[in-house]
Amino acid sequence: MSSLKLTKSGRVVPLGHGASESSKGTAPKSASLGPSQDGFWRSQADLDNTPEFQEFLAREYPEQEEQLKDPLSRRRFVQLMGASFALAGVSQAGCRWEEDKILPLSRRPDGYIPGVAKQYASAFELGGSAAGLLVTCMDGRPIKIEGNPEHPFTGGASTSVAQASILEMYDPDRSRAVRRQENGQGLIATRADALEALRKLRDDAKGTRGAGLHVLSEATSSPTVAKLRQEIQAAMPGVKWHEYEPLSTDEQREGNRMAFGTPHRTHYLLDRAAVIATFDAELFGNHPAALRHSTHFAAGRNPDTGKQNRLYAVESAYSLTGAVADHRLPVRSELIKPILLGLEQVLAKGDIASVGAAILGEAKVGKFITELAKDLQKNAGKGIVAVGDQQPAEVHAIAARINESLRNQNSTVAYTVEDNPQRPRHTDDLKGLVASMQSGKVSGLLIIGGNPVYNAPTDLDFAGALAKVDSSVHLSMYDDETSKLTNWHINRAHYLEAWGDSRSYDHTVTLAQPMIEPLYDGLSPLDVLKVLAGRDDDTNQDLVRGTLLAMAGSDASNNKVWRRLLHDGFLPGSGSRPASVVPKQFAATPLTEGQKLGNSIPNGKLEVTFRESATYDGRYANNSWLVETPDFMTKLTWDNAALIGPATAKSLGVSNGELAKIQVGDATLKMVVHVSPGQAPGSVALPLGWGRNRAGHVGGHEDYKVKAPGFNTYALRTSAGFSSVNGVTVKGTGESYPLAETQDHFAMEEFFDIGTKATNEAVQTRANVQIKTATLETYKKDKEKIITKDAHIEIEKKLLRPIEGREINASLYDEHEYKGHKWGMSIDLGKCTGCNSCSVACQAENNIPVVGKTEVMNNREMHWIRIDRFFKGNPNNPEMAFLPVYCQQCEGAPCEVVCPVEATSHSDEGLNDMTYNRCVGTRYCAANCPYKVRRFNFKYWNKDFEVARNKVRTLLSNPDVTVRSRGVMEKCTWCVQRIERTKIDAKNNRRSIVDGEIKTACQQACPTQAIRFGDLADKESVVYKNQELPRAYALLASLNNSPRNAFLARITNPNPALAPAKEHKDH
Amino acid sequence: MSSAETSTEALEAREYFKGISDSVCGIVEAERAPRIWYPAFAAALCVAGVLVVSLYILLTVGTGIWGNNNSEAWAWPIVNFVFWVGIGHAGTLISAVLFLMRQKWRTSINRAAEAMTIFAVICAGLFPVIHTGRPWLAYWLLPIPNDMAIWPQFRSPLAWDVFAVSTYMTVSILFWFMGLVPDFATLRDRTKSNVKHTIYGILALGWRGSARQWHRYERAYLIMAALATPLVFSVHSVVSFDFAVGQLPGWHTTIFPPYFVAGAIFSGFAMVLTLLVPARAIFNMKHIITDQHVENMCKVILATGSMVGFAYGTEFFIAWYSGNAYEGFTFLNRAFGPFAWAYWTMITCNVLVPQFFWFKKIRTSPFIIVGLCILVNVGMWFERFVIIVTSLTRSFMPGSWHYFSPTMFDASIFIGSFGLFFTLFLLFLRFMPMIAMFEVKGASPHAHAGVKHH
Repeated sequence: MSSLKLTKSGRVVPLGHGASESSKGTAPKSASLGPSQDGFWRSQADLDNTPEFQEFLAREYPEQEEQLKDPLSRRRFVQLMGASFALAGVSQAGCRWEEDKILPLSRRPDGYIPGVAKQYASAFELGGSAAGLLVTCMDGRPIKIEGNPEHPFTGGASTSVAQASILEMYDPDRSRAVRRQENGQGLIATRADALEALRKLRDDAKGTRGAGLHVLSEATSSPTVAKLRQEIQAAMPGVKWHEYEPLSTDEQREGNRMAFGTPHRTHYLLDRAAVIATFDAELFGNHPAALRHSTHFAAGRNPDTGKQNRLYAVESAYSLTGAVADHRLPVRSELIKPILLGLEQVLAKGDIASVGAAILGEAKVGKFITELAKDLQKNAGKGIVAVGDQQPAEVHAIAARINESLRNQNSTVAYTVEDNPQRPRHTDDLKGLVASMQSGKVSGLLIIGGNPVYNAPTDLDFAGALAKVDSSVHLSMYDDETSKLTNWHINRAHYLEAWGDSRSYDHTVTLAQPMIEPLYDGLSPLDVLKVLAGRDDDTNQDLVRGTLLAMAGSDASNNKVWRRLLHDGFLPGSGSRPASVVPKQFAATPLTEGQKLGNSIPNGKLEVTFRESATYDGRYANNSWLVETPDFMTKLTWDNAALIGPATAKSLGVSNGELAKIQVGDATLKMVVHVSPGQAPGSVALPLGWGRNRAGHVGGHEDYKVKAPGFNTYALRTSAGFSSVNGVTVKGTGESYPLAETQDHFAMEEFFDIGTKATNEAVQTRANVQIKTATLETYKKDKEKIITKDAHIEIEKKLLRPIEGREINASLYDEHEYKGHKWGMSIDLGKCTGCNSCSVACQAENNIPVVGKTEVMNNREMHWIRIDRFFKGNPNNPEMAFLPVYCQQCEGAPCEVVCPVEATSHSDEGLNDMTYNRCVGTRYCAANCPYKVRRFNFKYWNKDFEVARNKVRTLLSNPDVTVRSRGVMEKCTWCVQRIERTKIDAKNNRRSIVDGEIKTACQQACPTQAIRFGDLADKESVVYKNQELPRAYALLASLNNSPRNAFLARITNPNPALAPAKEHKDH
Repeated sequence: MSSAETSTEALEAREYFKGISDSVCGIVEAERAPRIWYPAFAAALCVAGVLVVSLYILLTVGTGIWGNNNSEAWAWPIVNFVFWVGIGHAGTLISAVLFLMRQKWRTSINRAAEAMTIFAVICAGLFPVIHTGRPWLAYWLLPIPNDMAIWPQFRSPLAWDVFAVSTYMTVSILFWFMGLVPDFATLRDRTKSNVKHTIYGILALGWRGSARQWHRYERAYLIMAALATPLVFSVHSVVSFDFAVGQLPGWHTTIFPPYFVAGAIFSGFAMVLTLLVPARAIFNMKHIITDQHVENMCKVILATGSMVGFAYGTEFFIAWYSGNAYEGFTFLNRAFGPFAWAYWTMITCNVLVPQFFWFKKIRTSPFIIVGLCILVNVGMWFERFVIIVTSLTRSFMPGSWHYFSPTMFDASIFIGSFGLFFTLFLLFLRFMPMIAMFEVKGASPHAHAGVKHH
């Protein structure tokens, strides 16, 4: 079976790339769509889509309209799925035996073996940056997304957003038809109508040479789109092109423009860095190069080989970067600039005393900056000063100057030329467009993607301006806030359904190919733009092929290069080389006096910063995987909350879970407060992307009467206060709001003080025992005994005194014998950034259901991976650490002996197997599991999928993993289906399994390679070597369960000069 | 002594025996039950109806209707199970253990106590079954030979539970029925209705009351009592293994078997008193269930309550003395954590309340006795709640900690189980001899009247 092989030969190029198939206007079919779709079916479908018929439907069967229109609930489902129907049935049948009819193909398509997964290279573009993907398709339906290991920039890992983007394709709430507004009424229209309307838009604009026609696009780095745009603007010079993203790296562009005169793109080469200092910079979260950063950062965290970088983070709200930093200084975002200017001056003058700024006068900051400056100077050329997108352009310019003076430039910090250097700031661009719209100069507006009515700055009043546009078209996957107000809504094809291309952050051209025929006949941006360009008859594939082959320097008819490109998924060598730039001299604003860290900021002078969140900018508000994934820091699901530090919350008199009125200028938002440790005093962080009106059944929808989760913080965001804004008032209302936090809030208040004290002590003690931490210094000094001599193990000993002379593996039962494999895992806690990729990947791989806010509040979330988050020390400036906990596959598993029906048992390869169909659900195993990693199906969580309109969602299920029914226990199996698949493949090919060949879903997604899986029987395997490291330890070892998973202690590298000050609790 | 005197005594004895038969059988034979029986029965049926509706919803929606969650794999249903099993201990204890110990005062209460045991075990048996995620497959816990050769996991205490509880149930029913046989014969002989005659005749298994029958009967009864005695101790010991065998701090402790048994007797006696003190007033049985009987039972409650209190203290001491920080925290958390209210309810009801029984005045005031006994059972329910819920909500990993809140259905099924219990018990009071007539007669001084001067 060559299904999951990552070698070049193992991947298969989909059928339909040949010239013969590409004459149709739609994307070609991928390999295994089943029977041909010509003739009768096609014309019948066309008949169904006539407006008369649609209106008849709506009139005659108003309540069933949705079902009747649903192409998947009827024959199209059968038509598309063919043989896979049976397999989908198998997976849905779960632990009970449901019957399903099998519809075999009458003739098997070439190269297609039913039930064998295939992987194709593709690309996922978010905010104008691509990630190379490998998409696993099973019987013609994409079921899993993974990083493309051969992609030169993004590699084999993937972000949680990329993982979850596949769910978006199968989202039953996706728009399924074109809709046009007529006299305030929405009428269902067809794809042909939409194309006709676009042609009309083009033809109307032709007369004025394009004047009055504007295109508002979401950020895209697609070379083909750029080419079409050029063609459109060449033919109609009057056409104006705008770009808007609510989250972008614009400030960095503009900062570099200030520093260098050209808007260069900054790259941090973390693998070369010894000292990294971040200022409000999130390097590992939603940064377009996050995967790269994570991989390289982790590569520099190897205490066993002695290579260990040092990370300083100065920030207002916790980021993943701050969470893994060796030193973190929480300050308000507005103070970043004076601190950075101070740093620059300290670097220049070598003495903090000579820098007379109030902020630096404060002992905490002064010392931090002085030591950081020394460290950076000592590691000149090997340091990085990174600034985040929250910060204004000027701060980026200062950072560029510092990096240059420290000779970091071209060593650890590189700059490349932006693809589209002329483009103004997104906010400015949008402002210009809105001004034109308001003045009535815009006759036609084509909005490609995005959702400006929801996420444009409030001062622009985009919705009001939209009303003044004669003809507006919105291409969108959802009939969302913007679509409601445009004349036309065109349902967009998902990126897995369409041809496309884009560039990754390093500019590598990456190809996106369709995995499946568009489920709802949606249009891609290329479909729309090619009409404007007058290339209606070209297929998207030809367009992409033309652009890419031209870039590859070969003839468009060169099949060999094209097939190579389809296989690889990217154009080798297309990444930009670093540009060498010399900073211009520019006058920096002098350090202003009077700015202080100030632990108590008077109400009315608070600072608010806007952040990305689980829904990114709100576009994934209907993506239940992302919405239900606990935030890395707050562990909050199904909501966003205003994050306020404990000291500030106390002075404001607001408490966790209380609704507060947040006033920014004239706008007020009533929003729930989350008291967040480590949030800078006086600073309030507002995550964006919640409280939507027209997202869907998950993210809220006015038509379905579904209340939106979270709060729409865009209501407080103006173009002037786009990243942060000052002079904010927060007033508690005393009303409480239920928050679905998956882990207890840090400050436990009990009935009795003694209880509170005992609890907090217990949490702190256990934090030290369960997440073992040591400094590099300690580790180097006493490598062999770091774990045993570590103060923490003393506590562990105290927790359970071992009986004298008793062997550690003493057990009443015989030890298991292993003849073949002995699977094992290791997790390097020093590398885990808490990014949640593993958790979402696990959810996608293992058909893990989503349970909803109420059930999360009931503590019934189903994630097999729980990332425990611990705080240590002062709540206002704590140390944070992550511990991903999943089934530890114990040798002496406490779950196995207590199951009365033997539904969970030990395999001969060391796994704790779950036999779902044997489970009767006594839940004894869960009660007896000390790690609490077992999850129970308290209800039938997949019930919603049985509704006709939601059936499409079942196509996403992985047929290799049982869909669990109600009343059954489940847990992590270390992706036993992947193990078995590889074993079968190895056996068929008469070879042995190579170490690292089997990757669990979590491991594959992990960008830092913190997770390692392998065979403990193989003494050369990485996991064996990891488990032999002096810093390897078993979780709750004193219970004698002998887990087969080992954690590697988190080795930090703090600056000895900045030894953790014993701060007194000031709350 | 003259024969005239002897015959007078014999006459007195006969009248006394007849009086017992009349008062006990009279309830069964009466056209109408005492007035209060009807509203009581109607209420019990209604509450049992709540159980039926709740079970319907449970079976259609799933265990998710309860408050159980990832950390709280076990909660109210298991609490209720242990609670009912505990109550089900008094009957067999009174019948078998006290029989073997020749405690004659037991005769007036053993029948009702045994009935109570059986009904309590029925209620108890309900919970482990409905508690499973897929109750329709709960029979997989039984060692039924099958062609897949799959057996239960014999290392699991839950499998032991199946055997322990079902054995206890079987023996309790047999023991109870055996005791009923001579009394069924009495009913058969007294009735004037053909239908009743036939029914009681079948139930009486052809009892004629011959000396040989009595001889065999008493031997058999003794053997049954000897068989049932170890069960009294084993059942709750096995139930306690469900916890003691687990690894959880607060569960994993060797004190559990004796501590659970003492608790079970404690709650069982409290339940017997709760039922019989009103019953003897309603059915005019004060001459049979005398104040002395009630007082004795109060003393048993006092003794077992103090044992339970001692166990609480020992647990706490060991948690500290062992130096095991997990264990130590679990107990601090019980007493001072978020469920402290449950812990102190338990301590109040189980340790403090029974201490009132030191006073004779209280031991002889029926209203106070019933009130205190109800409190004892509240306390015993909370004991199981504290053991199960507080231990699970905060176990080893703080990342898994979560508060537990019960739902409406947790309550409705628990309350409904009382409906089932009282329905059965009221039916028993109405249609079966609630007092073991022949045993009361045998234990009375009159039974030995004829021989006392020889």
